[in-house]
Amino acid sequence: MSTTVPKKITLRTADNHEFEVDEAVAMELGTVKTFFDENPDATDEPIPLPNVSSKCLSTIIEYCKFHLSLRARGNDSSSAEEEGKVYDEELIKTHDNESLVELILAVNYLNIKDMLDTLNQGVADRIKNKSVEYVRRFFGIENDYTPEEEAEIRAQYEWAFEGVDPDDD
Amino acid sequence: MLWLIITLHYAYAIHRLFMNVILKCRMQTGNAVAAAHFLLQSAEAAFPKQKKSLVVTEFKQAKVAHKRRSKAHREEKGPSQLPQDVLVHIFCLLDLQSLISAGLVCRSWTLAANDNHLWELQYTIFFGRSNNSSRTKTQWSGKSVNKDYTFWEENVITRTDIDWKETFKRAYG
Repeated sequence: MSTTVPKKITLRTADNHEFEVDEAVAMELGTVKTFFDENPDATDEPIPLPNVSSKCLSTIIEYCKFHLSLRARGNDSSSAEEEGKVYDEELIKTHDNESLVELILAVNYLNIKDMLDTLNQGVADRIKNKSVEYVRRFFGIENDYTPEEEAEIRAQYEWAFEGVDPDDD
Repeated sequence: MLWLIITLHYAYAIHRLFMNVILKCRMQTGNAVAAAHFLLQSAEAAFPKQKKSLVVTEFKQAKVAHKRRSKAHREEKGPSQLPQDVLVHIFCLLDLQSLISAGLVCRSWTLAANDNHLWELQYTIFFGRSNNSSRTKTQWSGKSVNKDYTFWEENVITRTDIDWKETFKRAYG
């Protein structure tokens, strides 16, 4: 463990909030890491993240900090893994669909693979065994098919349609 | 004479109102557009020709700016759509029925759900990797899908010429 003060990196969100984080945390953000890899002489100026809101970034930073600390523990990996799982489940639980999608867009832009995997699994779990109408309503997605077009596509899948849960909202 | 004074007075009042409207448009309060339309018509009738063309131009510019702003605002406010690569990633975590349902949600989701590799993955889950493996349907859980997804990621390049959805459908039916 180094005794020197860790280098800080400042990130600036779309809504103009600045977050000062340890270099190790910033390097969890693939997009930021790539920037520093390609610009080793970059100055200490804030890194603008035009596609990320401060709300999302604070969630993302918390996530990265927590998972970094878990990895640092290393030796008791089974309990760390369990804690990580609980944290991830809680993260999904505390986000409704709209904010989950917003967070995914930010995480995708920042290229944080593990976090994206977790969030995508969260969305997949919410879609599983649901009817088309339910998914549309749940995610506020507009149906851009005409009834005829939809019936046509549905007919193409006659061979597979069975055992879908009825709506439960 | 009285009539002339009244007309001039009226024109002046409209001019002031109209300028207010333009100012308001510039200040992003777009809801004045309908009122501005009405005033534009009045202004066209009341202003001298030269000034009229000036205010008409001003008004049109203000209106275009308003349209752009409201469009940007709509895009900002509308439901966020997930990009195709993220959708494909999510769909690779779904079982067959859920994948097909997701593919009916809207055009963008249909496109993602038709991704060839998703169907190669479904084929692998149902029928195994080898042609000699038994054709019994395997039980899918999140974990096994993830494992196969990794397998699939590693082997993408070799088998892109096959229409996996068709292949799956033939094998399934």
